[in-house]
Amino acid sequence: MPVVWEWGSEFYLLAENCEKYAFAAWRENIAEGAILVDGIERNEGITYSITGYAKSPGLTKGVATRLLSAALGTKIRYCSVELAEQEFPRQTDVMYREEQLAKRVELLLQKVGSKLLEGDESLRNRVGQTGKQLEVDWTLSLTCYVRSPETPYLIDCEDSVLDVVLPFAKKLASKLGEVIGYALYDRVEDPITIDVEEDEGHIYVTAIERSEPESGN
Amino acid sequence: MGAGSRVRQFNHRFYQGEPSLSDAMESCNEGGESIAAFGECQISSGADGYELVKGGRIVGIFEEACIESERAVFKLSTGMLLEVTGSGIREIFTKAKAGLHGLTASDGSLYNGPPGSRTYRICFESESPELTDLYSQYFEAVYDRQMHQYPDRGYPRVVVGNKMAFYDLKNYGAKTGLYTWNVPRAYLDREGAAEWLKCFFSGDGTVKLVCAGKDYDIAFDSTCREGLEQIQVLLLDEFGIRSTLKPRPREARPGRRPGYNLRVRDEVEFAEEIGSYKKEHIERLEKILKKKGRR
Repeated sequence: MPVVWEWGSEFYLLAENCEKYAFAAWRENIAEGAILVDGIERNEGITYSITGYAKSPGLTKGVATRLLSAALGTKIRYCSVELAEQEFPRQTDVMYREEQLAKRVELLLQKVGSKLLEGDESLRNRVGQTGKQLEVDWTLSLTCYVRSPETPYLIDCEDSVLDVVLPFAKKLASKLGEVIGYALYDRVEDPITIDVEEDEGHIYVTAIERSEPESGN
Repeated sequence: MGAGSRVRQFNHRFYQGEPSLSDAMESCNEGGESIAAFGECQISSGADGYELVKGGRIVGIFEEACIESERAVFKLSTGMLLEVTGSGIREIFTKAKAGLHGLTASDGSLYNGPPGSRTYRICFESESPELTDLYSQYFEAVYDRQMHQYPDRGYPRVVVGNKMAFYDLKNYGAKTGLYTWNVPRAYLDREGAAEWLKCFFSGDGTVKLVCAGKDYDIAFDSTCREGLEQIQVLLLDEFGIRSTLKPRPREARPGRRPGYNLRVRDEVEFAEEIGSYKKEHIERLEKILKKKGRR
């Protein structure tokens, strides 16, 4: 993962370094370069990345410049360039319209909640005995697909609230092109509870996949 | 040796009281009055300042000292203090140096160019001008050098080139590599720990008022998992504040590094004991405290 720019460097270097790297590393067998900026919107703590693609080294600077323009105003942690012999996969089989997302998130959280209750006896008992409503905090990974004349862009954002993450994704997209759809990462395998809090009517549970490393105290 | 008392010679040779533990000299009674003792260490005051003696040997002579019931603290150079307690002597950070480290770990960068280069650049950049101002202020307090204002695309930024400060920050772990940093735990007393956390949080922390199922959320975000684990331990050990570290799940996109989120569980205690210098955080933390009846 060649990082060509990081926070603290002058912004003009972001696009310049992308181009320099691309010209130096591009070989005949390279089909495409993926340029990625990773950052965080710090008022709401939304982490994100935007990826754009270039079919030749000469196109990388323009793509990187547009990524930078979209991300300005946030903390841009770094920019990386990845070259590949085949086109990068960038379309998903399932793409949602904006108005479908709320329902998808609801279903996702229900799925996480059911799996948690299924696998966690103490939580099941707690919910059963108190009759309180289970509220699940699960990080949503939303991808926004953007079409533009020069390249498609993929915007990945993470936060646990759709009403927070969606407007931010749309804001980034508005500087890049036209939104053609959204994908929500909805695979739930073996969720575990890492944090439980309770008030009069609710049991709030923060959950992650068991395979993901965590620690709490 | 030349003329003058041994104390004056010591002062002259060892940077006005900067201690040299390995070169500790035998104590000489200059007629100072003993004012405090902590374990093996004795402190006396005289015309030249405060003399610290351990096991009959002079550790140092200091112009400034702060004697408290449980410890004595002496001022050293470049934002360091010498703390003397019943259990021993250690160097700790001043509040300014602790803050400078916290800010550097979050939004600062140390750059020394390609191998062989003589560039030693220290930079701090943020969307919040109050943080760049604070960084400049702390930098000047610690290293007695002014930083240059150098805004870039609307982001306030302060920059300076200084080899000594560069290595001083780096050696204490303010930046240990690309995206990595350490909490300088060994050099933080309680006040220093609070300041380090407050400054780091001002940069890489978030106070959310819209979150899943709850009214508010306080969290740190970073790609440096090790550093967040150190924060987790520091919060618990020093302030009894609990937190939970979790990864940011995401689809693997080529070139993207994993990220981590440290959520504070004792929000009220965090708001009261640590807080933030960032304007938006301060307003939101106030709301949390009001909600909890603490204001």
